[in-house]
Amino acid sequence: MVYAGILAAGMGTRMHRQDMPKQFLPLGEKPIIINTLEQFYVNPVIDKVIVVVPNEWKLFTDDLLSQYDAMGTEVKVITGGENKTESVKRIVEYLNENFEMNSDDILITHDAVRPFVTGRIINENIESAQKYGIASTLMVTNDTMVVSEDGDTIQSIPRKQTIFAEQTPLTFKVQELMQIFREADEAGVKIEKETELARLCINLGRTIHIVRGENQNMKIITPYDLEVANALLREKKV
Amino acid sequence: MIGRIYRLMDAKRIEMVQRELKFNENDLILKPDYLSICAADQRYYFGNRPPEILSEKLPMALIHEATATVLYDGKGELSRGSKVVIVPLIENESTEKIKANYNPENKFSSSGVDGFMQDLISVPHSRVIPIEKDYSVEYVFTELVSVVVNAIEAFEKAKVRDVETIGVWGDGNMGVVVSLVLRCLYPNAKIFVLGKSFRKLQHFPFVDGVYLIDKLPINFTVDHCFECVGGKNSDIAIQQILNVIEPQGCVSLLGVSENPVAISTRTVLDKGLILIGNSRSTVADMQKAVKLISENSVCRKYLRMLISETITIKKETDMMHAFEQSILNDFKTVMKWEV
Repeated sequence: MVYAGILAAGMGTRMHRQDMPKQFLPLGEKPIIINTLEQFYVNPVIDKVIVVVPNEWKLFTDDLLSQYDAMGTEVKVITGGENKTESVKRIVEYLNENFEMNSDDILITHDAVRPFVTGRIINENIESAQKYGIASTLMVTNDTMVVSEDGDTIQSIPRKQTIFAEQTPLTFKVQELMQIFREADEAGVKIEKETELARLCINLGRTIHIVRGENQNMKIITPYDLEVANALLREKKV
Repeated sequence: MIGRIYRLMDAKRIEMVQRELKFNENDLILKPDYLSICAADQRYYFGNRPPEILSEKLPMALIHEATATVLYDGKGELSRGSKVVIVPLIENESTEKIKANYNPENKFSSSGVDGFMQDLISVPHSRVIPIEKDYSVEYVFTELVSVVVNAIEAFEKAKVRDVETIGVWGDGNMGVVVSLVLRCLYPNAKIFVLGKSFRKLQHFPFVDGVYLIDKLPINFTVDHCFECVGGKNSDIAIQQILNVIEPQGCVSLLGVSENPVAISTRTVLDKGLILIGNSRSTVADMQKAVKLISENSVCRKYLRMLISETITIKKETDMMHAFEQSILNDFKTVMKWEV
């Protein structure tokens, strides 16, 4: 089975909107999260979709999802955690409690605010996770990245060829991910403080394989991003 | 939902555009599997159309020969994962007086409206023909076969002479498909193919004879001819056809020429010839083409041999590579669509 975990538990503070988290704002004619979900609904390899949202937005999300056609895909809304890592853990716990997990089951996690994810990226993530266990979606960066510990001065500049930007999906064999969370617990890792799930995996000795991302697979975080995203959807010619 | 379309903006320049894919409950959402590059697509891609046509039609997504997987069917008739051939003809008007492919009110994908270079395609049920789930790649040539089905039906209606011998001019893709379909439909006729390339003529072992156009036997004649040359050599081919065809024969024209072609009307009149123009096909022609391919293993075998190269497409540069390669290949270039 291939499960998709759509991460929509953020509150969107950088969008400067208090009335609604960014994933529910409109992009084109539909909310951002619906645009994202549709890319998973139509993918024939995805069996079930789990959406994690803030607890106070769960009812809203259930209602919103029922307004749009899920195209025959089974969708479940659950409450997320403090950060992305904890939200993924909640998905794994939900899967473990509700389904019989097999060694080849896959969980593909994706930010709800990346609606431009393509079928190729989704399929290559699943294939790579099936083959290697964990796959992440990366893009080369056009800007030079620097390290500044204090925010005032630059301490080092890594070679550009070694620097990538991490997008999502981030994809796992479910049982491998369960084992990672078990090991993290045993090692006393505070999941609620570990914002980067990929870093946790590497710290626990796992290898993550790379899937090529796309510039267009952008994350809609700020009002500027939303404006760019809406501009991308405007047809030059019909 | 969000979909991506890959449009030819200008000669040799393909750009991706993201847009909202509109669909209603009667529509299907498809993911293309295989796309086949046709000579018309090449003419657009390399800018070999008159400038006024290019400026009128571009930007436009190319390709009108495709198979696809059903991702969603609002009506629930086709299950997710079903395979289909996509029909490029968009019927806006249906009338008994004109066959749909010749009705100027109707549109055709990759000729004025976007073709199939898209990651997701939304079409009504009337524009797909289901094929078996474990189909083989040669179904991507259904549209090409259907053009020949259309031409042969017109030929059947118009012919006066019996069909004992047929000459096919052209050793390219259309020449192969025309002679192959003729072989299937006229098993007792003698079919000859005439071409310029000795190498390409080796692809026709299913016909009764192949000839280089400058080495025709003396006294060579045929009852009927199919012209599949097109381009700047159309006039040479048609002149030779008029010389060797028997009186009251049919000349079925399938080759596209951008420029006017001189035809010896004296010969046409003297021999009482019938000239038939052929272009594109209807849904019914495509259904017949699917039937022909599915029921005829010989047809499938030789259609498969039409593939010179299959190129996996994941990004825009792969698409441009495929078009550049298509010019170098003797026969068809097929894009395995994984964008």
